Amino acid sequence: MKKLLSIILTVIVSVNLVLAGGGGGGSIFPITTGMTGTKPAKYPCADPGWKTAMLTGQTGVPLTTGASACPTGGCTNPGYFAPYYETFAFKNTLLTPQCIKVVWTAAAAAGCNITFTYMGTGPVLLWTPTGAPCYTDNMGSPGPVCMGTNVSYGVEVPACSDFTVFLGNNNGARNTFNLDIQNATGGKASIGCVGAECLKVLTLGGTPVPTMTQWGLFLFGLILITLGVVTVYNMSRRNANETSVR
Amino acid sequence: MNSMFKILAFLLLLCLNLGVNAQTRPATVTADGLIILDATANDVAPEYVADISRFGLASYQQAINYFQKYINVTSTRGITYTFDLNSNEMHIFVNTTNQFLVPLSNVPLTVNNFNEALRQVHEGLLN
Repeated sequence: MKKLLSIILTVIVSVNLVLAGGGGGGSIFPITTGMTGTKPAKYPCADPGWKTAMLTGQTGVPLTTGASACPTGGCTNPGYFAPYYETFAFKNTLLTPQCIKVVWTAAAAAGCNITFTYMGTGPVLLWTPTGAPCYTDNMGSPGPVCMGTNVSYGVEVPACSDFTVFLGNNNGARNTFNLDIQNATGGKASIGCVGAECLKVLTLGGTPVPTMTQWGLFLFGLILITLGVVTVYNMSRRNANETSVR
Repeated sequence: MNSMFKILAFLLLLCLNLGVNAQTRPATVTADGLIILDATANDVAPEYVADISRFGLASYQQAINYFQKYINVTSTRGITYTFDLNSNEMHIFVNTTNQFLVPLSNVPLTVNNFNEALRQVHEGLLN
């Protein structure tokens, strides 16, 4: 009986081995920031992927004229105040342009905070009395609105390119926000840190193909199941013979 | 002399009334519920009045329910609303000195800034 139980356990373990495919990795999102000048714990990129700064005087940053959607939004820059801000740099790791959706959520609205996204990792463009610069490349933002508890906007990032997400305090209290970056369908965007390798996603016939390792584990499991069935059969035959001899 | 004083008093009252009304400007609510503040003048008035007769709102609760998304998003951020169902009017009060709906910039706020925010609330882009 003990042998039978051990064989059954072996079969169960082998089945689990077969079913255990390549597991999915965890997501770094949401990234939570309290706008305290401290790099968020879940932001995985090395410095200077995350930056923070204070702006003084009557200066400011651009936003889009309205809520942006892929591929981009028109820029307007009368100089929106951002006395405190932080930026998060990422990279589109696809070898094709990727439409991303930047999503910010907060438990409650507090003060006025603003966000936008621009291509590259260059310094934030600042308004000056003599000029109102705008990002000539793709730029996204929810437009000239304070963020509230849930705001999102879309922008297309060129293939294998860096981009930066900006979060700043405009007026009143700062807030604690969760950042998520999704693809156009609401799933995980293919992004990484600046410097990450870019990948080409292949789909064979639209159906995922098992890897050799997965085939091997599958066959190993079948072999174990076969051995287990044969062993149980032999044991039952032996027990039957012993009973008939007595 | 008495009649002159009466005329002056009447003119004074008339002018004051006009002054008060100048602080109240019209707003529009489209058939699908988008609130648009009158943008004839760029500066923002403290109060706007919109005709809501087309919605046939029979009770205060119905009015609140219909405009719930605006109330939820903006009422704690500088815009408040009241309803006068006898006159089929909605009054929209804008507190420009203490609002957190439209970011401040190097140029003064305009009505279009608030209309943009209201449009985003209407479209569910701003919560």
